[in-house]
Amino acid sequence: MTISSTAAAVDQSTSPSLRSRFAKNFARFLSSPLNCFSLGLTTLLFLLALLAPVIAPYPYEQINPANSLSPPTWEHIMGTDQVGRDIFSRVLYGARISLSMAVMTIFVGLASGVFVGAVSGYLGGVADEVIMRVVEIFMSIPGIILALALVAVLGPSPLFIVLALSIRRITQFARVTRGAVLGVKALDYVAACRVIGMSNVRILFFHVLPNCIGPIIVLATVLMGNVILLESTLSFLGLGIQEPTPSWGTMIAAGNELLTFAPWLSLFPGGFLFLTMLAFNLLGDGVRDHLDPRGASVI
Amino acid sequence: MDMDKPILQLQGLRTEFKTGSGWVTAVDDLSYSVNAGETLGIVGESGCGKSVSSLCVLRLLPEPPGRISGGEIWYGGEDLTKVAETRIRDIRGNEIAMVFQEPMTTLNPLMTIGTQLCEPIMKHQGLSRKDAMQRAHELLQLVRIPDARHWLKGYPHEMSGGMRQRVVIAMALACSPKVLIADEPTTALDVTIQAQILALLKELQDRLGMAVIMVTHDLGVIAEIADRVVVMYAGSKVEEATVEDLFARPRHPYTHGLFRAIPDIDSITSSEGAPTRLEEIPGMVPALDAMPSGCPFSTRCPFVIERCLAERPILEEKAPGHFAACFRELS
Repeated sequence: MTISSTAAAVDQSTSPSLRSRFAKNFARFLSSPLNCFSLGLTTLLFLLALLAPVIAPYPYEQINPANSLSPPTWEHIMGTDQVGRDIFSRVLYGARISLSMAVMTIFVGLASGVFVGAVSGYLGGVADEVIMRVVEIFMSIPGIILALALVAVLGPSPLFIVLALSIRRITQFARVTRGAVLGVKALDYVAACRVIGMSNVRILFFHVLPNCIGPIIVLATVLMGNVILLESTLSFLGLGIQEPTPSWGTMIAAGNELLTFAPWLSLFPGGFLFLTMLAFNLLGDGVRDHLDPRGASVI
Repeated sequence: MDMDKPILQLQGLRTEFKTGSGWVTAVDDLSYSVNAGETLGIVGESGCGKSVSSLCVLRLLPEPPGRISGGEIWYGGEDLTKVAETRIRDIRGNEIAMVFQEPMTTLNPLMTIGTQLCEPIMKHQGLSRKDAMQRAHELLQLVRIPDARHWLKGYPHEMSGGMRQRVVIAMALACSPKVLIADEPTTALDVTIQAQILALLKELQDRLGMAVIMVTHDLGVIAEIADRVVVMYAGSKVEEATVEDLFARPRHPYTHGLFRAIPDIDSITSSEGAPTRLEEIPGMVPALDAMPSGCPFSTRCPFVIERCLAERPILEEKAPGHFAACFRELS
């Protein structure tokens, strides 16, 4: 049996530490200029949102009727609105609201959706059929209508908006997770886990789910942009964030009637919304290409 | 341990699968036993039920569509077909372990070798993570992985197929099982690695005194490792004998055909004319839902007589310790 040790010694390779592995992967991700751009932009947006109280030159609710509807000047770089509030400060605080609500929505959707999808895919059979039919019922209702109806019934508090927006995310995460779990479940190492006597709970959450993480991350990134847009839509329609708390959607709606006269009212929050959407969508594409170089779409 | 007392015994095992046209029988009235320290070879072609029957031992048959519809599997005074799910989970990996065919996919790609090896040890032996790692290290040395300490932190994709199969074997041996079921453990490996793995299995068996059930379609593997052989055809056992008896004098026409289908280098090269054609068993295994009423092999058997078509032969002792299910006496 000496042959075995020599044969095995030949294909010995060095296994780099986890940290250097991550660094290498990250460097590869950043090797694309588009990824640098989208990651930089999202980071910048999060920083702006986080540091809004520090950066904002004025409190977002401070009114100044004497200086209402001022075009961009050095004191108010994005101008002021109908009651003289500083648009720049309100856009920054709006970013805070939009991003935090989007993150919460994604978190709720991801946590529940992944759980539902994983259990459904892993159990299979009747449980899977029932869960997936319920998911499909929710998917058949247009997202914005569902959210509108829920907020109209429950009331436009941030908590209920998050709830209304996450229901559809739950179904999306559930479907993607179920698909991934179905694929991983059929692999031999899952059978090997059963052979060594592991419980189903442990197999699912320690062995199957970690191997499904790729498409889930991609979906979470792509949905960030969607959720921000949906929240703005709700606010635009008056069922989202209520005055005086700033939200891009409400600000765009407020400037809507003065669009020809004072375009900066809608232009700046709209521009930020556009950049945010662009950043998250590009980031989502980048992450997808990075995690799956063959370029299969996940949604 | 008493060498003559079976450690695992299957009695009249019967499994069925649900298909579009009802239940079909995949394993029909299968009985065999294996003693401690013994290697039982189960040989047969694809779909003959050899893997299905070994999955049943650990109750790993996917249900649905499969089900065990009859028979008993005795292990240490317990019928494994009836024990509770928690009990069978304690047995899996601890007392009866299994090695699969495909080493490339039997390891979790996201976990280090060490962590995966620790899982059964921590579960069944209640060791701390540190002690389990120590044991994992010993196991890697046991299966002759060089530089074992380094590989504890390695990932499966860094290993070759042969090394992975060693890790899979190490994982199966982690809790010193009494029975090891190896389901075509060398099929996916090339021949030199195959020889190493078989030698390793044999050596470990001698050292640990476990029973090994070697499921394979390769008579070469059987010759190398088995003590006793069960030949399966279309879901049932057609012949059972010691490996010497079986290779010296196969008594079932199917086994006979299998041996004749092994290419013989002399007969190909010695004749002056065209090389002789490789012998084959004519026809196909009948579909599980279209079994002939008599002997299942009757459709392909060169020695078929009228009785074979009407009546199903039962297993009888043709010579001491040599059983075959055939009406005829092959010479």
